[in-house]
Amino acid sequence: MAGQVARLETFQPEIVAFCCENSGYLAAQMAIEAKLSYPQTVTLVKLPCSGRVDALFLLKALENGADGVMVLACQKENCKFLKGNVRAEQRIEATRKTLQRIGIQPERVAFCHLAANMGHKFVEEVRGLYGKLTELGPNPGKVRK
Amino acid sequence: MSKNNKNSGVANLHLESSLESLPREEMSVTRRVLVIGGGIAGVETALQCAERGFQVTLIERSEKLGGAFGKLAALVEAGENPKDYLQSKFGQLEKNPLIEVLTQTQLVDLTGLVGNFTATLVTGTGKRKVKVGAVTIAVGLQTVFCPVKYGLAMEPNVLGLTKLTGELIEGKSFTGKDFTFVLGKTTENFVLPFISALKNAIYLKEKFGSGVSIFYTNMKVGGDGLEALYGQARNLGINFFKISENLELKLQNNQVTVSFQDPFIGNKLPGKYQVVSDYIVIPEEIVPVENIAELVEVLKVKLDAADFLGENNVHVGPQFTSREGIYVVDDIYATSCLAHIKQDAELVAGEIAGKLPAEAFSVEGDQPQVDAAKCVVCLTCFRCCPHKAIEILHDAEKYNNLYGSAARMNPLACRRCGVCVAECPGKAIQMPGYQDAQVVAVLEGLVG
Repeated sequence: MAGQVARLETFQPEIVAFCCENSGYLAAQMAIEAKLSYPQTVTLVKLPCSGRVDALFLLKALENGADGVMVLACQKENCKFLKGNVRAEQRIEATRKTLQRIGIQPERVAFCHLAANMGHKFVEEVRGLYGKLTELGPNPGKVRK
Repeated sequence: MSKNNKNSGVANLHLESSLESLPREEMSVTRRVLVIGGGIAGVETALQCAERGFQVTLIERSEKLGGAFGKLAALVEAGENPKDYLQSKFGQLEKNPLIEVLTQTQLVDLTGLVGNFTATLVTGTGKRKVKVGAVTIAVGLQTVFCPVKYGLAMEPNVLGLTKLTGELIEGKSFTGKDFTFVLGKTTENFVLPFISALKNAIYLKEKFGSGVSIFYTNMKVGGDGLEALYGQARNLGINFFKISENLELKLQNNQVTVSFQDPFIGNKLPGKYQVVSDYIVIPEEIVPVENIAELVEVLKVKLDAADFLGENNVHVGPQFTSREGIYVVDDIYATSCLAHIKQDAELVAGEIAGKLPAEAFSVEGDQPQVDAAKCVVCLTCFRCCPHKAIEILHDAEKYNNLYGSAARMNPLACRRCGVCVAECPGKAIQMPGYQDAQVVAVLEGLVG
């Protein structure tokens, strides 16, 4: 019992962030350069557009050990490819429903709009999800623990 | 996962290694440009494209070329006659064997993709099909005079900016008359009215010694030499008044009275001030040309929120549309000065020349690729592509599936966003450098 409490206290949620290379990735770079502090358990995956984020990626990340995933897309009406962020948002909504059906909290998938110069927003969003995941506890859907 | 973070915080996909093995694709294209709109922007673009060796079809829906340019002196320096400038350009058009000019002609259909569009034109004599490689939209804008929005009636001393410009070009005398300009109440999104007003005000002051007062909400003078124009106007003694919402305009005995509260000196010297003049000049409303909706439907591009063409997007220049090979010259949020139109025409012509460098050339096939064996021609990608870059090809021998068909991302039209890849329900599409297997491999490497 004591061991379990200790494990919960040291629980550090692992996050995979899928970043659009035109906004989210640049915002993350900016946060790193500005030495803003954010949880070190975040892994960034750079993609050409948030529209490239496949439901498969989100599920695979959760399956492979992530406690939460996030998608960082361009601001509304400002996607380099015009509709990529809209498509991504719809796909994420669908993925959340799938997760709910199989008994995984849909809040583990976060989505946000940001611009390349918004390092602070990147940090805010990551911390927000990190806090939420700390409350939710480890992802029950991990296949590889 | 933490191993990754210690190095760079980034899980990188190994792009370079996959790019090396990409096949090159042979393209054959038509080096002809369709320019829609025979105004100054269209004429400049036609000349610029011809200079780069393209054949040009310039279409204009009215009887003659020229558009609104002859009416808008702001486009050139005040006092210079835009009609003379147009005449010299028409001369160049006629002499150029590469340019075909069709008046009273409209575009009714456009099929195909960049490099190989087929345009259907309706001319006075009937329908005609033209093969073109690229399309340039240079339809410009339309102005509507609407004094009601300013609480004014249609009176002879209430003038629109372009009407005043026209009268000045024709040589009407305004000696000893005082003018009031009111700017920015309804047309603040556009730069053109500000420049036009400044140039007209300077002209009136210098030629007729008129007293000129300009009321403005914000003075928009972004652009080469335009700040200097504002400085020049101030030095000449033109009065500028910043206004807030509560501006009262009254017409009485052929005179215009403007009552206003100055937001700057209001604190120290409160109360209303009045300016009396002989004429009041307001900018016309700027609206899209009438047939813009039909044109957009034919071209399959998208309009912005105010029904104007061109992208209002930090990632995409205003000369670009949602589709490759369709460009906009002189988007109307811009200054619309002659210098700006020339610059745009040059940029677009250069862009087309880069896109279609020769009749036949090869390009790197780094666009998403379709595995025909998995493609069931469900059209999901075709519908969701934001750039309409996908074509369905039929070739029973080449495509080894039930339908003898498959979707194909055209390498010239595709902008490589990967939306189709993520949407494909059959996972038949893969994007070089970002293949499902590559991304999943990165995700599988997270634990450890």
